[in-house]
Amino acid sequence: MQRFLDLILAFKEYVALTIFVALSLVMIALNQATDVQPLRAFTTAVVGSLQSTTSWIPNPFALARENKELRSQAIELASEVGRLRRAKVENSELRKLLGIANRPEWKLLPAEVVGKTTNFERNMVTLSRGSADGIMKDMAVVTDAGLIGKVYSTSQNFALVEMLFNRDFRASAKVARTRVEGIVAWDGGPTLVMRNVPKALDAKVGDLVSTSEYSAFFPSDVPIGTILRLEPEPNSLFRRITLDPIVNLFRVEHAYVVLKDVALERERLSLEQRARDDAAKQLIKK
Amino acid sequence: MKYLIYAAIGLVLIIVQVLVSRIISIAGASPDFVLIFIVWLTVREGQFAGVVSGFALGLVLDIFSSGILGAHALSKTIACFLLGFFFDADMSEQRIRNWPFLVMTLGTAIVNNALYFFIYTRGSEISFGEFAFRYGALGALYTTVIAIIPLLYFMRKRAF
Repeated sequence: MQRFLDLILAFKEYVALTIFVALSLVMIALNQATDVQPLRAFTTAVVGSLQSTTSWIPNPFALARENKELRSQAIELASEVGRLRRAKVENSELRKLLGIANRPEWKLLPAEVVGKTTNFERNMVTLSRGSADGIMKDMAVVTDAGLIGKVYSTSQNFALVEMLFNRDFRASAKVARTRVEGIVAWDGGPTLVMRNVPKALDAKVGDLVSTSEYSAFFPSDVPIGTILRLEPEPNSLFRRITLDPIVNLFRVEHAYVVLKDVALERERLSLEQRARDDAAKQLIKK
Repeated sequence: MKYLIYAAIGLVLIIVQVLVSRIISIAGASPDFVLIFIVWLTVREGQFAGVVSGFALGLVLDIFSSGILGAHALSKTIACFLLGFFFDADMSEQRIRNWPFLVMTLGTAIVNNALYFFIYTRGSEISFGEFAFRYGALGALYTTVIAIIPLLYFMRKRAF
């Protein structure tokens, strides 16, 4: 036994390395496990409280760039608001003529951004609202311009939001003009990438890409970005579409959480389940 | 007692890292204060202390930065283990107070960032090479520049 202990002590660096590497690999594998969520909620509360005390300090390197971008965006937005107002009136009148009801409005919860981590590895924002306000993991977060991301974890008073510029971000999306579907993800740079779009389908530079009806997390028709480039993927029937995000993620100060009506969703699921059970019973009877 | 002080310094640096990285980030890259500290610790205390502190502080950083749990822990453990081969008890004080400290910080930061981004880009649309070059190299350089501050402090301490 003593010789064994001596051996371990003689190679303690290697023993420690082996144990720690094994532990790290296990943790990486369990990263998305639900058991980790209470830990995430705890850190969201701690980091949220700390960040809310320093949120007023600006990044001096980013201020000049932000100012310039804001001015040009303000001019663009002013003309777009006018166009959109006219379009809204037209849309409402046309819907009345066609007898189509207006789409139900989402239940939005406004929240202030109290913390931001915008570096290469984690692009996240901390919101001033949490589970006490009805926010839950995976709820969509938007601004008036478009999609920001989804809720990653919550504490009582804070919510940590995973932005579009995040390795884990995926969204089912469509080209608004032609309804061509694809999956949007982050490519690691200042742009997003839309995959699984067949080469034969219609998409052009400048087209708006928004969330599709098939997304499990995001409501449909929320703008994500505009098409910057279309490139064929080698040895594939698909093409790679590069998107310029609509929202400047590094400048978000206010956001809205799209609240899911859990009771309604539960009721819908139970009705669907009941319908499936009835159909199965009828099949068995036959 | 000495190790408790090290742990306290490490925790303070993690809080600084989480809070300050947004304010001082340049082109998306921010300095790794925790890495500078564990490089200093490894040069001063040796490979074993480096491996233990790399894992422990890396894990706490993973928890507080809401990153991939275990990614910082793994990259910092391996980076400090490799750095530990350059440990020399007789030369440690001299290295901390001279330019070799910066070289060691740069080397460790490059290894750490390469490992971290390797884990980070797995299973995503992000290209490892491009991402590691764009942010890993910039982050390693930024960390080395910030390491000049403790270097100057220790050089000044020797002068008096």
